[in-house]
Amino acid sequence: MSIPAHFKFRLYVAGDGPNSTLAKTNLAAICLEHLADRHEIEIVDVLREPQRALADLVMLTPHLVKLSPGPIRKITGTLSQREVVLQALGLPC
Amino acid sequence: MTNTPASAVEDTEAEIAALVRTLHETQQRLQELAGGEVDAVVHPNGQSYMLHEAQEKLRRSEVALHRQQAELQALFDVVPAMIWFKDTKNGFLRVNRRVAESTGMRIDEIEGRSAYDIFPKQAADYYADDLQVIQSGAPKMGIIEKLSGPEGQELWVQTDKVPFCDSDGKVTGLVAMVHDVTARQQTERSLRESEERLRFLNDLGEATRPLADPAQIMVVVARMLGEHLRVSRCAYADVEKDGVKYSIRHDYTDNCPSLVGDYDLTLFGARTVTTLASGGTLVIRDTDAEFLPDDGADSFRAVGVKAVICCPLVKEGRLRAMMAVHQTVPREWMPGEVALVEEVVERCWALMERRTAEENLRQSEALLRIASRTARLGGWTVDLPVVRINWSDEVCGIHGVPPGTMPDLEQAIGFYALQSQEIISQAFLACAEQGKPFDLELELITADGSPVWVRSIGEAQRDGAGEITRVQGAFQDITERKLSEKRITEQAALIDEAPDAIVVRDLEHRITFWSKGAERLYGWSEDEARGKFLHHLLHVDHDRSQEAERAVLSIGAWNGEIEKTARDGRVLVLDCRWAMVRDTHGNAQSILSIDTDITERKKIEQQFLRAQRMESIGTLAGGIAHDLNNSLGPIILSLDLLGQKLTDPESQELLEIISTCANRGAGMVRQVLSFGRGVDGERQEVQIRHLVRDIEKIVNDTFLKHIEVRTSVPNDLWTVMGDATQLHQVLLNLCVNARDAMPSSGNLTISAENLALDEHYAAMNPEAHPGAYIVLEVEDTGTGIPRSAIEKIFDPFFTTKEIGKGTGLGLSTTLAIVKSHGGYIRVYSEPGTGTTFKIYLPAQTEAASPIAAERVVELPRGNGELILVVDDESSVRHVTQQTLEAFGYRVILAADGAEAVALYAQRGDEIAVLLTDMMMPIMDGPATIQVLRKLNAQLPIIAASGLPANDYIAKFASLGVQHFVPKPYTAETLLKVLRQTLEKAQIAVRE
Repeated sequence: MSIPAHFKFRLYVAGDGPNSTLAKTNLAAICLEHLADRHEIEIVDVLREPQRALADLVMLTPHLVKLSPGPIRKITGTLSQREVVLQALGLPC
Repeated sequence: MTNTPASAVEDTEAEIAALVRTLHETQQRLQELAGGEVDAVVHPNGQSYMLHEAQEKLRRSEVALHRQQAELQALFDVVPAMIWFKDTKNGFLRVNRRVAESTGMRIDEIEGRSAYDIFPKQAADYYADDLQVIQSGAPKMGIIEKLSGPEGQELWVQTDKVPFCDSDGKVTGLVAMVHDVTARQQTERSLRESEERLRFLNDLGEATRPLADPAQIMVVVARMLGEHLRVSRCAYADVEKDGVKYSIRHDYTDNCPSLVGDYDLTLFGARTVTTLASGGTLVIRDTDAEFLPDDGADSFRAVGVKAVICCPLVKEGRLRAMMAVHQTVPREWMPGEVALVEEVVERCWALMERRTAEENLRQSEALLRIASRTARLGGWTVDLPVVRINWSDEVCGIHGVPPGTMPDLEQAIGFYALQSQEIISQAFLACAEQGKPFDLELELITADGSPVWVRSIGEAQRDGAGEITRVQGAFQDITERKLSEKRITEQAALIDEAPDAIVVRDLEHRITFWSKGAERLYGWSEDEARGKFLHHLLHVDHDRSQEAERAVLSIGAWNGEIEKTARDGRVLVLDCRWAMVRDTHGNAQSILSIDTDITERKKIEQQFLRAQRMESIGTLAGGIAHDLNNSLGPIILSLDLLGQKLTDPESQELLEIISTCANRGAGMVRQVLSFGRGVDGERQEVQIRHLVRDIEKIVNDTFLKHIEVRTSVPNDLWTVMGDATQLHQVLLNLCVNARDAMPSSGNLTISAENLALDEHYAAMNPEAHPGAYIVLEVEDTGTGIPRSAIEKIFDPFFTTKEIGKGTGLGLSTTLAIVKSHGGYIRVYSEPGTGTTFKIYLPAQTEAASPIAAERVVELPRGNGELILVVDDESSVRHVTQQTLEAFGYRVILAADGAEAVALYAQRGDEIAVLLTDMMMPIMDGPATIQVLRKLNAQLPIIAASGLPANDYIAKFASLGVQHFVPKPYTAETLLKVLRQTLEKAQIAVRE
C-alpha cells in the first residue's frame, strides 16, 4: 500500500469577494472531508499581490491550483460543484 | 480597499461611455463564462480589478456586517450575563455592561487592562483560568460555581470560556460568558429533591403494596424511611388509652441500640406531650439545647437521642400512635425532611387503615361468597329501558347455565314453570313500571330440566329524576326448604290422621302440642289444651305419672298404662309411650307422648278374665258338687233304710227333717252343677210359650199383688232345644230379681218373640250367630242397676241383696244355663227407671232352611241414597256401613253429634236420612237431632237406642223423630225401617 499523497493547493482570491470567500470555504470543507491532515493550502490575494497572479498566469479569481501531487490542475470558480472539483483533483467522489 | 475603474482612458465622453459599456459587457461576459463564480480579473499590467457584481455583493455584505455588528453590540449589552473578550496576553479586550455593573467600574476602565491591574487579588483570581483556556486552546464550558453575593447570599453562576481563533485557526483570544443561575440552580435542586422524594415515596409504595399485614408494613416503612434519611433510628409506637404510655413495637436502627419497649411520654418534656397530643409534628434539632435537663433532656440523653422528628396519629381526639426518626447526634433537619417524614407517616397510617378495611372487606366478601354458595343465594339486575339482564354466578348456577350467561328477558322468564311464568312476568312489569317490589316463591325448570323452587325478590332503582333505571334483586334456591315444608305438612297430616293422641308437653307438663287425635280422644280442642297442665286437664293419677316421669327423665322413655279422664267424664285406659325430646345440645326439653285408647280392649280383657274366673269357679264348684252329691247320696239312700228300722214317731220326724234337708242340699248341688260347665241338662224341644205361661202363673200366685204382671207371646213362637227345668229356673230367677227391684209397686213384663239374626247383627255381637232366635224379655220398672254394678251382676256370689236373702248365684246360674243353650243375655238398665233382661236363645223353626239367608234376598234395597250414620261405637258404625252399602245405599259416618253436624253442614243437600244413636258422649242423639232439625226441619231421622222403645217414643216424637230401631238391630230391621222412612219422606215431599 502506498502512503496517501500529500496535497498542496494554492488558492487565488480577490479579498473578501463573495465568490472568493465561498471558494475558501468550499476548499476547506473538501480538504476536511477527503484530505484530513494531508493537505496544505496557500491563499494568494490578487488584490494585494497581483504580480504573483500574473506570474502564475492567473487571470480570474477565485482560482485553485493543485500543485502536488502531479499533474498540476487549475480550477476557476467557487468550487461549489463538488463532484466536478473532486474529479478534477483526482479524488474519489 | 476598493479599486476604481480605469481612468487612464482619455477619449471623448462617448468613447468613454462606449468603453465603459464594453467594460461592463466584458465583465458580464466574463461572469457568464465563469458561471458567475468569478470575483476579479487580474490585469496584465499587474492591477487586479474587482468585478462589478462582486463589488456590489461585497458592499451589500459589508452593510449587513455593520448592521450585524450593531445588533451584536446591543445583544452584547442586553444579555443577562457578563461577557468579556481577552487577548492572548490576558488583557480585557472588550467587556459588556454587566461586567462593569458587577465590578463597579466603567467599561473603559476595564478594557485594555488585565484583571490584576484593576481587581483585588481574590476577585482577580476568578479570572485566572482565562489564560489557561487561551494557552491550551481548549474551551471550558458549563462550569457552575457557587459564589457569595454582595449581601452574602447564595449566588450560583455558570461560566463558559471559549478561545477564539483568527481565520488561520490561531488562538487570538478568549470569549467568556458568566451568567447567574442561582434561580435555575434552586429550581433544579428543588426539582431534584421532589423527584427524589417522589421516587422514594414510589419505592415505598411499591414495597408496601404486596404487604397485607400492618406490622410487616411498619417494618418495611421504618427501614426504608430510616435508610432514605440516613437517620440512626426509625421507630413506631402504639399509645395506650391514657395518651402517655406507649410501646415501641419495632424500630429500624443504624449502628445504635433498638429502643423496643414501654415508655412514658411525659418523661420527654412538656413540649413533647403537648405537641404530639395536638397532632403536631415534633421536630427537635438538639435535645440538649431545646429541653431543660429535668424536662426531657435527661430522658432523651438516657435513650441516646439528640435529634427527633416525631409524627403523631391523633384520631377522635386521642393520640393513638407515633412514628419517629432519631439521630444520635444533633441534626439540622431540612424542611423537606420533616415534610417527608410527615408525608410517609400519613401515607403509612392511610395504608394501614386501607389494609385493615381491605382485610375486613375481603373477609366479608369471602363470608358473603360462602354464604351465597351455601344458601344458594345470588343477585341479579335488569338495566332499563334497554332490558339488559345480569346474573351473578350463583344465579347462573341455580338456572344450570354457565357463569356469565346473559339471557334476554324472554329467555329468563322461559326458565320458569308455566304456572309461574305469568306471575313473574306481571310482578316484573309492575316493578319496572310502577316500582312495586316483589318477593315470590316460584317454580323453575333448570337448563337440565330438573324442577327447583326459587325465591325471587326484586325492587326498582331510580335515578335522580325518579325514573326507574334498573330492577335488581336476590334469587335463592329454596327447593330444600320447600321439600322439607312439604314433608312437614305431610308429617303433620299424618300426625293429625293418627287415631292416637299425640301430645307434647314441657318439663313442667304444660301442653305445647295437641294432635287432632288427642282432640278426638280427650274431647278438648287444641286451643283449650295448649298451655294447660296435662295432669289437671286429664286428671292423671299423680303417683302413677310420677313413676313414669322418673323413668322418662332417667332413661328417656317409658311405656305403660295410665288412666285419664276425657272431657265428658269418661275414664279412659291408655297405653302410653313417652319419649324425652332433647334440644340440639342434648338437654331435656319436652316429653312426647303417644296415647292409644285401649279402654275397649281392656274391657274385653276384663270380660275374658271374668269368664275365665267363672269357668274355674264352675269347675271348682262342679267338683265340690260332685263330692257333695257323693256324700248326700248315701245319706238319702240310708234314710229309707233307717225309716224302715226306726218306726217310732219321734225318729220318723227326725228322719223327715234330715230327708228334707238332704234333698234341699241335693237341690242346691244341682243348681251349682247347672251353673258350672258340667251341667248336662236334657235337650228336648221346649215350648217357650208354655214356659212363660207357667211362670206367669207362679208369679201371679206367689208375688205380692202390687206388682202387675203382663205377658206377651206370639202364637207362632218358635221352639227351643233345651232343658225345660233349667229354662224355667232362668225365668224364675229373673222374675225374682225383678220383684226384689220393685219393693213397693211396679210392672213386670214377660215377653217372647221370634228373631232372625243376620250376618250384620252377628258381626256386631260376638256371641250371636246368624240364624233364628227367640228373645225372652223380662222387664221391670224397678230401681235399676247402678252403672258401677252392672259389670258384676253375673259374677258368682255377687249380690246387692241383704245377707241371707240372696246367694249371689242367681244370675250367674242364669247366665250359665243360657250359655249352655248357646244363647246370650243383654241387660239394659237405667237407675230409677227399670231394668230389662233379654235372653237370646237359638230357636227351632218349622222350616229347616236358614230363614235369614232367604230373607236377605227379599230385603228392600236402597237407590244410592246417602245415609249419615252416627254412632260412638266404631264397630257398630262399620257394620252398619257395610250393610247399607251392600244394599245400595251410600254412607258417611260420624262418631258423635258434633261430627255429624259438621258433615251435615258440608253435604246436607245430599244426605237423605240421618241414622243416629241416642246415647253418645260429647253430643248425644237428642242434641244432635235438635241441631239438625234447625238446619233442615224435613230431614228424615231414624233414632237407634238400646233402651226400650216405649220409654222414648214420646221423647222422640217431641223431637220430630218418627222412626226408631232398637239396638242391637238386625239388617232386616234397619233396612225395613229405612225403607219406610224414605217412603214417608217422599210422600211428605209430594204433599
